[in-house]
Amino acid sequence: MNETKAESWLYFFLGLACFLIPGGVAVFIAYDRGISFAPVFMFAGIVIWGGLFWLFPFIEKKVRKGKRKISFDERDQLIHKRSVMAAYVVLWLYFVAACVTAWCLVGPHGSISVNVMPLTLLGGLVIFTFVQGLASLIQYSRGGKDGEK
Amino acid sequence: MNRTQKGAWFTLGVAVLLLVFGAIIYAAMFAPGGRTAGVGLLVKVWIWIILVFLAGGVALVHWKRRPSGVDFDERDNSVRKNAVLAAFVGLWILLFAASIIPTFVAGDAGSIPVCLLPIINIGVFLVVMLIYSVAILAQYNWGDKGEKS
Repeated sequence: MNETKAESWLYFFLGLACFLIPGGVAVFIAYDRGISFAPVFMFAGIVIWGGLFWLFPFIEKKVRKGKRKISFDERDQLIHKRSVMAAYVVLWLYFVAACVTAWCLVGPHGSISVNVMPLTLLGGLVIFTFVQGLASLIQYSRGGKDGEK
Repeated sequence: MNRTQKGAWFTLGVAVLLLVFGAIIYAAMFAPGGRTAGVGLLVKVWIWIILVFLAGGVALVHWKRRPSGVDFDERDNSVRKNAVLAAFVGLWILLFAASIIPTFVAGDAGSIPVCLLPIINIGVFLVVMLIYSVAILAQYNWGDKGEKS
């Protein structure tokens, strides 16, 4: 198991908790005490940080270029890009499914609470992270022993 | 103008035309009185404009395309990567805005019509496409203007 694969496992389990727990806290504060700057700022930070966390290996590679042995090679980059693309496709499918589900539940002339919107986005962030981690692990497991370091 | 730029102009045109089309439909949906009063002809004309643009755009993108010539180099690849990154950043900012703005508009205990959800979804998608194509065109514009790839 190379370093990137180990990071994928870590990301798979801890990544979800890292975004889900603070995101849920922010949404709960906004729901309980009303909308204010602090929960909105916290939620914005979590959404943008979580949504762009997939860039971290690329940034790390650029920053630490030449300082240590290569742990994020061409194959890892390809796997990572495919995982992000798969997660992106699933994210859009999730939002389409959310629209259809809401439509079916309350009818075409119904309405939904505004508090559902941040929760839906938080769900999208969790699914994005989950699919990305899962796709990485599947691709590493498909690689066979030749590709393993 | 290379294939990437042609594609970006095409995407930009389609996104703008569809956004205007969506705005017309949206305005008609929530207009007082008859739902489609006075916009039927406008919608038909706009649909024809979109169809003509699509047909013309596809023809222009593939017109005079040399099968043997190099139409996609490293620079185009880099431009596309940066544009995808800009689109991703834009996507998460838009999703955050779409989840928070209804709370400010309708209040903490407010609700929004369920028919708005697909409109928000498609709107976000079109704006992301717009950001992607504008990012591509801006990068070519910032680069060497005399260079033709």
